[in-house]
Amino acid sequence: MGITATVGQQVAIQSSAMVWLERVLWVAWVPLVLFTVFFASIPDVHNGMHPVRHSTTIVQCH
Amino acid sequence: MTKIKWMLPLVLAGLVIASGFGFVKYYNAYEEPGEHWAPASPIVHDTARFTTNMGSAGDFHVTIEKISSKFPLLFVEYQTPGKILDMTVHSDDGIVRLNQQFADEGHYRITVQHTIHPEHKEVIDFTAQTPLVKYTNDVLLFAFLLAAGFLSGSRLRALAMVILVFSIGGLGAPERAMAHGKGGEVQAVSFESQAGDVSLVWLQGKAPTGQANRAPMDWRLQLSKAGKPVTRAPFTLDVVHSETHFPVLHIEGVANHGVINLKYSPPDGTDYELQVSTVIDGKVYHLGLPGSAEAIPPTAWRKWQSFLLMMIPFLIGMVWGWKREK
Repeated sequence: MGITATVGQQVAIQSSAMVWLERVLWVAWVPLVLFTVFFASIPDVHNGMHPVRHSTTIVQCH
Repeated sequence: MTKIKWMLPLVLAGLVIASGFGFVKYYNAYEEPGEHWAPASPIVHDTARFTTNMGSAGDFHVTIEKISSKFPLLFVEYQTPGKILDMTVHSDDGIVRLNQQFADEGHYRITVQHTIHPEHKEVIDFTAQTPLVKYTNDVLLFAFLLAAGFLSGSRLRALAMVILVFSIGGLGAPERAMAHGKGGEVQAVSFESQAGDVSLVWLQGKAPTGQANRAPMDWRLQLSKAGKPVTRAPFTLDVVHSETHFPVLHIEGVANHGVINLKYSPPDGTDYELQVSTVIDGKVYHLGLPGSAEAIPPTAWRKWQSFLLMMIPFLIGMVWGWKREK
């Protein structure tokens, strides 16, 4: 009985963690994409996204 | 509610017509003739042609100055206010001609002043405008961020991923960047600094160094023939962007004692070629020298400002989606 309760608790904890992870991902995916596309200093990404930065009026390229 | 529904097509029709008139007015502003032979509102990154008739031959001090930027939070300021061009040119026909590509939106002033009679001068004030496509892209970007926020808020995962792909692709056909862009069908031409016994060298002895979009750099040139400065030579000078192969500055004049007095702040941090076409002793020469201007990366604060601006529609959309899902 004690063992079953422990497994149940573990499943509940894992489920709760997954829900929180999902929430964090839903909140973070757009900021992450924005940062990568417009502000990352990784040379390949930076050069590849050069025209995208220049296509708006609010993002400074150089 | 029913009344609103009936009014909606009418309101939409009104909006379409109003936006049509707005766009026509905006486009016309680009080409509207100013007091001089000059565009009243040139488009940034496009060549703007200026000509002013000073009435008689002479030496003229030509300056281009940025007076002010448009609201820098929403319109990135590449060129800080101050002088962009500072040059003395001689004109045999009294007409001063120059072409210039502007780095960003703002108020600018071109002054052409006789060097001996300073009271004899022309001042051209104008506003350089952002290309309309950039506004369209801004609206698209904000709309997609709003949609992405809404879908995140309501947890429609699959659709959100599709929107993500389209939001990046939605900026497709973005306005070509001044740097790293393609110059279309332009044939790149490169000139040597020496042609026969005629040579083009830096007056300072070396290529200028400095940052783009800041204080004018010293690009003064010296034309020599057989090792001696030429007495007098008409010239056309182009400052050619190395990646697009378009001239960002074109100016014509006569070089007295072989000196071309160019002090200039180019609109992009990259390599340039200064191309000079001149006539010496009845013979045409095309000469060139390479130079470069240093790019200024955006500050961390500027990056944060842009990032936070883009987060606004996302967060609004997210709250909206969250509430709607409830």
